[in-house]
Amino acid sequence: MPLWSRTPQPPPPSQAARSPPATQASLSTSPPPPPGFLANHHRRSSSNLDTAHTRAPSGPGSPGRSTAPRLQVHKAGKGRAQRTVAEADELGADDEPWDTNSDEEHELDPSSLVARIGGVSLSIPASSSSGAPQPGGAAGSAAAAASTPVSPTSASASASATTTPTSSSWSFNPFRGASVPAPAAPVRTASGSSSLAAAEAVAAALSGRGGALSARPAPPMQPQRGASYLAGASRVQEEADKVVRAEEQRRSLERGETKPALVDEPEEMDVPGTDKDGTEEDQEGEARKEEESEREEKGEGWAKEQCRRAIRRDVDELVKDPAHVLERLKVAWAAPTAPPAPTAHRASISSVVEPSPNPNKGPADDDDDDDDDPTRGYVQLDAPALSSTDPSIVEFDAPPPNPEEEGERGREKRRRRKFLDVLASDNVDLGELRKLAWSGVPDELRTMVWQLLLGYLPAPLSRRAATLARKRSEYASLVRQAFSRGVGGLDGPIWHQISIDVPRTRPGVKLWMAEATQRSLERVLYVWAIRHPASGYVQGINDLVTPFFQVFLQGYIDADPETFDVSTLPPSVLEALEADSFWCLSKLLDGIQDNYIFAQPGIQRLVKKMDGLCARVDAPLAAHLKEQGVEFIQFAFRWMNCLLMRELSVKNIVRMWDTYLAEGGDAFSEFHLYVCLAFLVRWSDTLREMDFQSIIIFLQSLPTQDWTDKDTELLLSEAFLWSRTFQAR
Amino acid sequence: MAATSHSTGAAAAPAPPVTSSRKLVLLGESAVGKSSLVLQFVKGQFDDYRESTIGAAFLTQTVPVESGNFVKFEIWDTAGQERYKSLAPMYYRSAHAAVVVYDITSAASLLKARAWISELQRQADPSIVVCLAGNKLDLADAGQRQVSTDEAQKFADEEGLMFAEVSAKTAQGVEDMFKRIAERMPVDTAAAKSRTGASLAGRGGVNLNQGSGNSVTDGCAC
Repeated sequence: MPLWSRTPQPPPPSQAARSPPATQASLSTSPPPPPGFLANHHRRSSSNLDTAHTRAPSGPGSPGRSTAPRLQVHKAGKGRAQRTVAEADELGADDEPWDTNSDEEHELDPSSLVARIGGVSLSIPASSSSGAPQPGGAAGSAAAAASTPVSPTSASASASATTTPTSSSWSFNPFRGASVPAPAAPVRTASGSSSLAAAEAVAAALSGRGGALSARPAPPMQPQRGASYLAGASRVQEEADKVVRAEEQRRSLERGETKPALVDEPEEMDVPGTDKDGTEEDQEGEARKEEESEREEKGEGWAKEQCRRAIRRDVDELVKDPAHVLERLKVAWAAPTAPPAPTAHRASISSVVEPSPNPNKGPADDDDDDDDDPTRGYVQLDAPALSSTDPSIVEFDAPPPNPEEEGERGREKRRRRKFLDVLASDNVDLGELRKLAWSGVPDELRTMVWQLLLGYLPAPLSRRAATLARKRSEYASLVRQAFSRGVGGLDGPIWHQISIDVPRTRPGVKLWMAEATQRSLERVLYVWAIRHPASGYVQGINDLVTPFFQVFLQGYIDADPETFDVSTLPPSVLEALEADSFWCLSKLLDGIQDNYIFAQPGIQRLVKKMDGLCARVDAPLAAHLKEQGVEFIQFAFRWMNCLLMRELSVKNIVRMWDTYLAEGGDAFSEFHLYVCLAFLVRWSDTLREMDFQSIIIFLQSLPTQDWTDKDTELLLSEAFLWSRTFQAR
Repeated sequence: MAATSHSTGAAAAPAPPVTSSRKLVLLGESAVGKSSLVLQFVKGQFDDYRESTIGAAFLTQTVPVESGNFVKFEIWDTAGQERYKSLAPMYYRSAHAAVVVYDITSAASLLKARAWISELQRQADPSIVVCLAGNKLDLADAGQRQVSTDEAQKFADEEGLMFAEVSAKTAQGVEDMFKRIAERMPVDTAAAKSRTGASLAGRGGVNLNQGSGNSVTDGCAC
C-alpha cells in the first residue's frame, strides 16, 4: 500500500523484499501526463457534447423518453453538494439518455476531467482520436467502425465465421474440431497495432521487473502475445498487482498450506452478532474446498476441458448478435401450444392507484392480448398486479380459464413465444419488450433483452452487428489507453482501491476467484472509474458488475457461470463479454451516479425518502424503529449503495433487474427505493418485536437465502403499487 | 447509550455482576483488516477474503473484566474507503472506545490512522478511549513489515493512546487488546444497569459519562 501513498515515506529496509526499490522510485517520480492527453480528451469530449445535445431529444426507439428524468435525479442532490452534483450533471449531460440507442455513446466531461484527473498520467495514443464516437445513425456507425482502430474483437466478430480466434490460450474448440492456431497475428490496422505495441512494450519492460519502468521503450511486438489486446493490459495489471498486492498474493499462496485453525461454527456462538456473510462464506468455502479437491483428482486440464465443452457451438454468432439465440430457441420452444387464453376477468382497483402519467411507459396496453401482461406472473401471489403500460388501471388477474393450458406452464410458454415474436422483429418494439420483461425474462433471452432495454443493443436489426463491433472496439482502445503507460500510468489511488476489492468480490465463488475473471473485472472497473472522475471507483460498484458479467457469460455457455473458467473462452468472446459488461455497467451507473459522488447525495436523499415513506405505509414499524433509535442510514445505506446485492442472491437480483430495466428511466434509484421499502416492511412483524441491537443485526443479515423468484416478484409488485401511489403525489 | 450517562466509572459492584454496554467503533484505511479483526474477536473466524464493508457493520461481544463485571461491546465496524468518510462521525460521535487500525505492512495505512486519530481528537467525545492497532502481525515474519513496533508505540505514547499489534488471522493479541480496552471502560452501577438494556437504542444520544463538554452533540450525520 505504501506505493500509492500521496506522501511517500522512505521504505524501511525490510520492505525491499516485497517490492523492488526501482519500481518504487520510478513510480513516485512518474511523469506528468503528456500535453497531448488532456488536449485529446478535451477535443474528443467536446465533440461528444455537441453530438449529444443535438441528438438527445430524438432518441430513437424509445417512445416518449427524454433525458429529463435523469437530470432531475442530479438536481435533487444539489442542496447538499452543489459543486460535485454540478460536476455530475455535466458528466451526465453528455451521456446517453437511459434507453436511446447507444451506438453514439458519449461520456466524459472535459472540465471535470481536467479538474479531477490532475495527477493521472494517462496517455492517449495518437490513434485513439480516430476512435472518437461519430455522429449519425447506421451509416455513421459503419463509418466509425471503419475508421476506428480495428481491435481483435471487431475483427473476429465480423469475420468470425471464417477465422479462428488466435491465442496461446485458445487451441481447441470441440465444436469446430481441433483448429490449428494461426500464428497469432490478429487483424489490426496500423494505428491499432501501434498502440497495442506500446502497451506491450510496457508490459515487456515490466516483466523484466525492477528496471526500465521509466524508460518505456517500444520493442517490436512479440507475436505470441498479440492474440488479444487484453493480454497487454493483463501484463500491466499483473505487475501493478504484484507491487500493490504483494502481501495479499503471498497470503493466497499460503492459504493452500495453512488453513486458519480458528474457524468455528458461527451458529454455536452465543453471540448475537451472527452474521450472514460469515456463514455464507463458510459454506462457500467448503464448496470451494470440495471443488478444489475434485479438480486435483481429475486434473486442471479436465476441468478446463469441461468448460470448453460447455461453450456454445454458435458462440461466434452469438457474440456478433445476441439475437442469434432466437434461431436455437425457435426450435427448442416450438412445442405445440394451445392458443392463448382468453382475456381473464379483471377487477379494476384503479381507485387505489392514482393515475400517474408516466413518460417512461410504452404504448397503451393491448386489451385483447393478454399474454404480454407484465403482471401475469403474479396471479398466484395474490399480489396487486397491473399493466405497467397503463398506470391508471390496476388489474387483478384471474387464472386463465383455458382448460387446455392452464397454470404456470402454459402461461410461461405463451410468454416465451411472445418474447420470440417481439425479439425476432427487424426493429424490436421496446414498449412491447418492456411489458414482457417486467414480469421476468427467460434465462436464454436475458442477454439480448437486457442489452436492448439498456439501450446498448440497437433495436433495429440492421445496426446491431456494427454497433456491437464498434462499442467493443471502442472499449478495446479504452483499455489500451488506460494501460498503455504501464504501472506508472495508472491512477494510483483508484487502482489501489480496485485491486484490493477485486479479489474480495463475491469471495468463494469460483468464477470470481479465478485470475482471468478478476483481471476482467479490474479492467472494467478501472476504465469506468477513470472515465467518471466525479465519482471514481466506489466500493459496491464492483458488486454491480457481477450480474451483467454472469448473465452475458451464461448466454455463451451451457453450464453454471459461477463455476465456469473464463480463460477457456476464445479471446474474442471474453473481449466481447468484458466490453458488453463495461458498457452496460456504464448505462446502469449513468442513472445513479450521484450515489457515488462526494458525500453520496443520491443515497442520502433516497434513505431520507425511504424513512418518510415508511411512516406512511407502515406507521407502527416506523414508530418502533424511531423509538429504538434505529436510523435508516444505518441499514439502508448499503441497500442503496449495492442495490440490495448484499441482501439477496445474484439470482434474485437478476430477476429484479429484469423489472428494473423494464421500468427504465430512473428505476435503479426511484423504483429501487420502493423495492427497499417493500423489503423493509416485509420484515415488519419481526422487527417490531426487536430492540435496537437485534434490529440492526437482523437487518444486516436477513434470512433471504432461500428466496425464490416468487419472493422477489412479490417485492416488485408491492414496490410497483407504492411507486405509482406515491409518485403521483 | 443515553442511559450510561449516569455511570461514574465505578467498578466496585461486587455482586451481582453488571454488564455495561459500551459502544466501540473501528476506523482505518480500506483493507487493513477492520472487519477481520472484529470477526476474529466476535466469532473466532478468519477469511482470507471478505467482502468490503459498505457503510458500517454492527456486532456485539461481551468480555469479562477484572472487577467480576462484564463489558458488552457494541461494535460499529466502519467502511474504510475515503468516499464513506462522511458517515464515520455518526458512528464515532457517541462511542466510548475507538480502535484505529493500520496494517503493519503498509506505511501509508499508518498515515491514515494518524489522520483518524487527529479527527477523533477534534470531533469525538474527549473521554473516548482510543487504541491504535497494528494488524497483520502474522506477516511480520515474512519480512513484509513496514511499520516498526517502536515507531507506532512512540506515536501512541505521544498521543496518549493505547497500542497493540495484532493478527486477525492468527488471533494473536486480539482478545487481549479488547480486554484491555474493556478494563478502561466505566462500568454501570447496578441501578443504571436496569435501564441500559432497553435504551441501547439511544444511539443518537451523546455519551456524557465523563463530562464531554464540547463534544459534537447528538444526531446523526445524515
